[in-house]
Amino acid sequence: MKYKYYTILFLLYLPFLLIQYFTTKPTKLLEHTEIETVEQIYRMHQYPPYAYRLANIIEARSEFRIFFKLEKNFISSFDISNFFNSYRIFLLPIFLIGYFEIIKKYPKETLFFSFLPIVLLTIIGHQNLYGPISLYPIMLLSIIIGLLKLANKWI
Amino acid sequence: MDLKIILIIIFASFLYFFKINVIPNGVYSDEATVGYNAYSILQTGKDEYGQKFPLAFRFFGAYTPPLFVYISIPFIKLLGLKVGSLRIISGLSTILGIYLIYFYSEKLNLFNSKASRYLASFTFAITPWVVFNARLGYEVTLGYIIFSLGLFLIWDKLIKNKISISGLIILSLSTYIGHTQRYLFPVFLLFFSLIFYSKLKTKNNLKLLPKNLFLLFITQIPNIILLTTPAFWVKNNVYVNTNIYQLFNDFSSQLLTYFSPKYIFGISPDINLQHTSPYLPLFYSWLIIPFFVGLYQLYLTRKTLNGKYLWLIFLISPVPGSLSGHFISVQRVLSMIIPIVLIITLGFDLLITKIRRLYIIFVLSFLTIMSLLFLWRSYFIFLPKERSVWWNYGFKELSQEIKNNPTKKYIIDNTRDASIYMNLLFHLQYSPSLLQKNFLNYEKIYYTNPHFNPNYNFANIEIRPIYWEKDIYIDQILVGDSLAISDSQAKSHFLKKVIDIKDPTGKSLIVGYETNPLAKYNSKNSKL
Repeated sequence: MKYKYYTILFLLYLPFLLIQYFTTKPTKLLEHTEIETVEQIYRMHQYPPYAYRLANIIEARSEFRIFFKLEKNFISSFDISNFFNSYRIFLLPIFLIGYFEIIKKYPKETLFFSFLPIVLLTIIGHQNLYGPISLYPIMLLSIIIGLLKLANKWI
Repeated sequence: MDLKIILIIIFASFLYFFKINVIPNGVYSDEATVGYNAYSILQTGKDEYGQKFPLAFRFFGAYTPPLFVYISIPFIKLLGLKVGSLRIISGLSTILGIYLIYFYSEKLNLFNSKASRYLASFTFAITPWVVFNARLGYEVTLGYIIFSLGLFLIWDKLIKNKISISGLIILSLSTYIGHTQRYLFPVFLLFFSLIFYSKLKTKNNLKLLPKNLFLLFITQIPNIILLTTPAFWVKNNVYVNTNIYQLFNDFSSQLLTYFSPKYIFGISPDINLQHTSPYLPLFYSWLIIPFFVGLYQLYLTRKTLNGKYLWLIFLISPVPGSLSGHFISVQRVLSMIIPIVLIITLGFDLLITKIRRLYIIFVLSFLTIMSLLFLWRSYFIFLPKERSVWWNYGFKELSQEIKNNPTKKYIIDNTRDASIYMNLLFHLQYSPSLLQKNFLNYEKIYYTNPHFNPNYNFANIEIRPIYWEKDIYIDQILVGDSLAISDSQAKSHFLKKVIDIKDPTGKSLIVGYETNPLAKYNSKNSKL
């Protein structure tokens, strides 16, 4: 796809990313809450003496602290039970079909516009009243493509 | 056998058998009941209720399929009534699972790269969900491994347009291992027949159909006998007083939860902390990437035989679990493990072809080391301490205390845990023939699912709620958790603490107080 179309797509996507950013209470990657500090101390006391050094690295070092928070935010982006609950379960296979069809045709572009919101959500977290808005465009597009694919097959 | 697979099996053996008697710390009630009933069959030919060689074991009213108990008997005979004797069976079945994945991924030509076969077996071997269940002393692990063996046998013959009768028989036999397989087998049969009907509708298969059906019927005779009794339908009690809308809602929300990548690769949705290891997901989080790549590969190959079969076993595996009740239980959907591992390996298979080998080796090695570090941290450091109460830690110590004081009478409170009696029977290795005397003529009503009474009286022990109006006036020791007997109650009733069993973190789990009837009578009289 040409560079200018890429730019147009990105500019269309940008408002969703900005809304997501400004309406989300960001995860404090470097700081621990009081509860997290208590849990950290509790965990550190459980290590045997031969592993105290390792305990200091895994439980106390900021790199691991950041890693665990990023990991939690990253995985939370894939909560399908949140998007497709109750009667919307029927949209899940349609979404998957549509998404895989888009990847088949435009792999790099699809992956780029899928990972953009996921990277953002990984960094800022999911504390948002409106949910993962930045994912809605790609999800909606996938569902539309999925419906068209099925309609093409059966009609 | 390939040296690489042998090395994987040796490494996995360490993960599955290291300190198997003490990690998990304690003996879960399901392990105790399986072990004690196997011990009872070994000694007397009857279970704890005096039923001769049951077709389903009543246990606490679950009527669990019997095969795991019968398989445990030679292990208990050789190694004694210990929790390790039962957990070894799960470890050995998981080792079989490692080999199955390797053998069949080669035979069925599932992957393009040879390295992917080893990756599949290795991923399976070190997956947290697998390691955790490889160290359990009850039927769930053996159930899903044997079911998977049946699935592989069927898959192998399907490629040649044949029906594998050995696969069907093994699937049928797996229904005697766990409740999940009992429901999964007919679901699999139904969808398998529908999807592959045109492929299997050959002259030879139709000619063999009556013989195959007859053999299946033979293997299902015990279940058919049980079908007419309430014992077969205990797991269906959740549907009593449920409307169709509620049923659909529960089913769809549970199904979505089981399929949700957030719960497979992140926080486990299971609220029962006995089913998981702390701070560890079911699959390592980074495997979500090859999983999605593999899912895409599976979508592209959906019209091939291998693609269809893998979709089938992946999609049906959580169905029985989603229909089994209101709560998520990851132990009801263990059949998802192998399809997920195969899908992840499909992802690896594609990535190996797209990315330079050196980068793959470096990244995978780093991620594997980090994953094993987190596994060690969670399972071998945190689990024995944080989850000990969920594994009924403390009853071994209590049993020792009771053994050391045979002349004292113990009242053990069971208000919050109806299975306490079984933990004591297991650790005390109480004579099954003496216990069975409590259930004379029980064979007549065994399969009618009579009311389960958790109160027991054996040896110098009474297991029941504490009756404060009278128990404090009798010379005995009252035992319970910290909620059963508070410090203020102990003070007001002149009780003296003689037992204080703490968990590995130092928190009191089981406390025991000696009564002082004289002081209590005097106090009562002085008030009058």
